[in-house]
Amino acid sequence: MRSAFAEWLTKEANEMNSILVTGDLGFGVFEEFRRVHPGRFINAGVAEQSMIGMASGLSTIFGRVFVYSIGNFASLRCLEQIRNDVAYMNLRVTVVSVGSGFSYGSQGYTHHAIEDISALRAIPNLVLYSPADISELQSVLTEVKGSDSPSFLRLGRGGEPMIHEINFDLNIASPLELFSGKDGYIFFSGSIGSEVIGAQQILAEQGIFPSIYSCPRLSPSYNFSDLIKISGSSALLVVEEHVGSGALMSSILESLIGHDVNLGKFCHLSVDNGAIHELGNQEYLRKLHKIDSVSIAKEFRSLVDQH
Amino acid sequence: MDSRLLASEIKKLILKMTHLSGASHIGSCLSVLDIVSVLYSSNFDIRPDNWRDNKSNRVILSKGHAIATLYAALAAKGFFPIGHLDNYCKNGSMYGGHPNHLVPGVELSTGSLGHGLPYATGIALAKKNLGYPGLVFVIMSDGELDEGTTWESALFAQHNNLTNLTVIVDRNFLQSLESTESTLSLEPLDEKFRSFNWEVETIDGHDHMKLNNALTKTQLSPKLIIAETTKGKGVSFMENEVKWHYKSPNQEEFEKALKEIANTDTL
Repeated sequence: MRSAFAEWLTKEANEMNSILVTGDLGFGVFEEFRRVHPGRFINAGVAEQSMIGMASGLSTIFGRVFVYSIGNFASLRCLEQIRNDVAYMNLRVTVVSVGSGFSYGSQGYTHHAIEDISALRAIPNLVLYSPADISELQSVLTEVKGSDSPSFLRLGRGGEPMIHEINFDLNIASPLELFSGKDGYIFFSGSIGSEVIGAQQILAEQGIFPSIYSCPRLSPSYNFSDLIKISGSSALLVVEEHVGSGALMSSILESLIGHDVNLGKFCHLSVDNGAIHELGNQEYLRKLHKIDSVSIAKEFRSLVDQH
Repeated sequence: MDSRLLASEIKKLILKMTHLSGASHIGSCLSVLDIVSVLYSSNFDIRPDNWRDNKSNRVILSKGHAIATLYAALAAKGFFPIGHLDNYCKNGSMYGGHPNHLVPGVELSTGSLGHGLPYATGIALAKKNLGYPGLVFVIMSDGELDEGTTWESALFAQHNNLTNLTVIVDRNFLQSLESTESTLSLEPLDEKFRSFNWEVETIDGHDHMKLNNALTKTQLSPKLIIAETTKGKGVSFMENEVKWHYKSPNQEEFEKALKEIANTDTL
């Protein structure tokens, strides 16, 4: 996904009068961008806090400024700068963080981006995107280009399987339906989508057909109330590569407040806080935290059986 | 407007603002008053109709807790009606105890220390890369220098040769609980910044002529002006007293302070 982002920005930078600021990261990603736009590339060094402030200042004179780093370095490390300098000031700055969830799993806990959504969702003005594949990313980038709002892009590390057909014009104003089924709902956001699609295939073999929705925007929250019309007989499962509090599940439940929705049995698969010291590659950690395709299918099956 | 006239006007306004609102930080406001007065004098040409112009001088108050001084200066310069200052720190007002960018003339919403300088480096770099004139001035407190972003930005500014960036440190040697030197000692401050390849000039931060000269000299690198000041300057019982970081003048103190400054300003 980072390569797709780099290619897109290389193409669009002049039209947007954009600057790319990196916190000394992006080896092998931005060489072409630097070659084409030497005057639009700034390496701020390993200094994420001042980098975000600096990018905010830049954006008052240039067009949209993109700030690139990985995992928590682009979010938690500089959270107050994002809150005060970018979001409250309502500037055209987009923070791009590569390495969502357990993308850098074997690098250990410092590199696990698993609390960023909760922190960022709480910040007013900031539009938070979490695309699952290249099609969603391109659709998000088109929206970013046409917007004046501050934004944050939570991206996988690269090599995410496509879960949509190639379509760079998805309507991301509402959750994207990937499958329409009769046996309840599964919601997810971001690159964990490939595991959900894997689970869908397992469930289909068992004759279970959930509706599956991808949620590429996490803030402002989608309104899920029209979508979820559970009459007590439908299963609802939310899957996220993130800690359980404050992210997609919270977003769904919050959006139901005040609406006449009768929730049935629902379940939530997310990072197990008791196992945060474990490390390993993304596949290993997804299995360990039971957010892999087999665990998702098993959980949903059990949910359906209870109905 | 002449900086001394502006200073005299601001002083009365901020005593009234902090007295009426019961708000804090009058010591810091008086400490930075002459620096702000010089920057908003006619020499630097920052006006209601040009302050957002990319080619103008830009001022960022990073020590946000001294906002009363900036709001008073902006009101005196016609950025908004002087009567608005009566709303300072009042319920429902946008003129709070720290800068709000929704107020005309305020570049950045600060209040959390260490945010102004990084932001200013971005403006300075953009101006430099596009060949735009005008300097970027950042007013910082000395206690604020403790923040890590100060030193990140000090590296960034010299690496990018931001000759259009000037930081003025309100060097009153007092921070929240005690002196800067007994908190996290900053000295030798000039040598620290020189070793970062900044130009450094130390001056009397209450001397308008010296401030004006230091702020208008051509720079060959980013510049730090160590403006040596007195916290609570101009009101005898507030000078160098930590408690005036927190306290606001009551009726008696307010009247006493007004009398004092009336005497000194006419001398």
